[in-house]
Amino acid sequence: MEVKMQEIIKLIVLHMQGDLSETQQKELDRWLNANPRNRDFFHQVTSREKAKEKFLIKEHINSEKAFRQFSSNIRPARIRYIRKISIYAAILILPVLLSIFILIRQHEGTSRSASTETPITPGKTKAILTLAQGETIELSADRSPASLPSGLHLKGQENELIYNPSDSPKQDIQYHELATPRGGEYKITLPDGTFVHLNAGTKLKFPTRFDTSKREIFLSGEAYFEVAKDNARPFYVITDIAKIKVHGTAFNVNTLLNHQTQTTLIQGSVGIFVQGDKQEHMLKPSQQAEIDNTTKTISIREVDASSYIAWKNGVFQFDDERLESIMDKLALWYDVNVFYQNDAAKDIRFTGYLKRYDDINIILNAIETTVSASFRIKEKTIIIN
Amino acid sequence: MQNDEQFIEALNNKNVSAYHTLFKDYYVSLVMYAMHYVGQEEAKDIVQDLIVSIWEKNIQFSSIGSFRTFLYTAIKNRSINYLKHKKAESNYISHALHQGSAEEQELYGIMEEEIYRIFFHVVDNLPQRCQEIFKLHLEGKKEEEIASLLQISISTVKSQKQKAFHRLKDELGELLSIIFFI
Repeated sequence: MEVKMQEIIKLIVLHMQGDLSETQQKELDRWLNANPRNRDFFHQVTSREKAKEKFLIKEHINSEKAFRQFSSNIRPARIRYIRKISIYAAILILPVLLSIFILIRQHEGTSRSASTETPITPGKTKAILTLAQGETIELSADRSPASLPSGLHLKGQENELIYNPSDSPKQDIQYHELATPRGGEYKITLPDGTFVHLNAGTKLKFPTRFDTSKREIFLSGEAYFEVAKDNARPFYVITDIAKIKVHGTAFNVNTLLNHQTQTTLIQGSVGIFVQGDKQEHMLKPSQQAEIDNTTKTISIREVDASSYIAWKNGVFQFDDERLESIMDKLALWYDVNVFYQNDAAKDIRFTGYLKRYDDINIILNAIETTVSASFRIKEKTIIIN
Repeated sequence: MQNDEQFIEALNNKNVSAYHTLFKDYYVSLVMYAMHYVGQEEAKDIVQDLIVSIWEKNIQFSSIGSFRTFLYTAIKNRSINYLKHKKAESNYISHALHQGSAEEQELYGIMEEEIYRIFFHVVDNLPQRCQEIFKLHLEGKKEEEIASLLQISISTVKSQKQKAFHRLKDELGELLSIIFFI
């Protein structure tokens, strides 16, 4: 998408200049034919009326004047103030200056800035593995447990948990549970080779050896799945509300939303069953199924699937999303509480791309800059005004 | 691109002349982009406020692409929030927000401003006479019309147009390192 848009802009500019090569013309035609709205946009943007209008409006927008206004806006008031009084009473004023300086320092100390020390950190690689007998093992990227049950090992810098394919089919089927806390994430490869990435506040229960007829795992929370292909044994993800039948594929399931259970398909195909219902609802790539947790109704829509799995690539991607929903995600990842001094702020919408491993101050600053909300951090609570 | 990197670094360091460049190269297009949502005067205020807040909050950018994406996205967010706070114009909001897919409209809006930003940048850096001719050309005027309008010969129109085109070509490579995440 990014590269393409840049290319189209270039082609349109060259066209307006009357300087398109034959191949470029073909490329432009392909884009124009792809969507009637592309053609409408093209005709409108290249029309002589548009060019006239643009140059006319430009006459009324003075960037030099705007820059001068900017220059006077950014000169901090206190510096001007200090300079002025120092001319009149430089000697007398020195102690005053010192105290002003101290006051300013103290004042700055109470406001939030990127350098402010907070106990808030982004989520880390950590989880707790519970074995069949209830024994628990703490897992994290920086610390390897003393011992792991046979058939399990850790891999790579992030200590990804790997279940070896079971050698003895006679072995009993035992269930293990991997749980990430708030502010945690973890990656695991199941005995059949299926890869699962658990987001914060998520539980995954799975057998140490899959049955010969089907593969079933249990999920609450949010996880991204890349299911290993095995036509003989269908793969099921079971949540409180839904059962997702997988036909070899990559997808994201989220049960952490307020009222819905959401399944987003990246590639392949999955079928969704509302618990207690026999009807299978098929999803195609880039479709999303939302089941209302109370009414148990299912709705399927087309989405930009990549934005729903951005989290697994270390990115928060918000697309005209409500601040309340954004803050819910931040709270889970940074393990903080959120307090609204003004409920109207919940409905503010924000679009943007932020890095999940950044300091919380960087994230909040970015949101603050583009919308009219202000944040304050007190201990482990974010206060929104 | 070397220049882009230097520009971003200077912006990150709160270099005033980098901000001057920001105004020269982007201000007009950003105001026009905001005008997709609000009136011209509000648009100017929204852009000014945004740039001041970039300075005050010491926002750091990692690349020219993310810088541009940030500007357009922030202008959109601020414009929409402005409209939402202005109840009187609620009819206009629902109109503005429900015309086609919002995402698609946004994409076309950014493309339009980026296309004209390139032209503005080129035109601003041309000699007076050459500027005049290039503008008339973009407005769809034929060479003969331009010649009679400016009372110059057709061959002068031709050579001035060529000059503008060459400049445009040089600039295109530089100006198009855009990354959009929409």
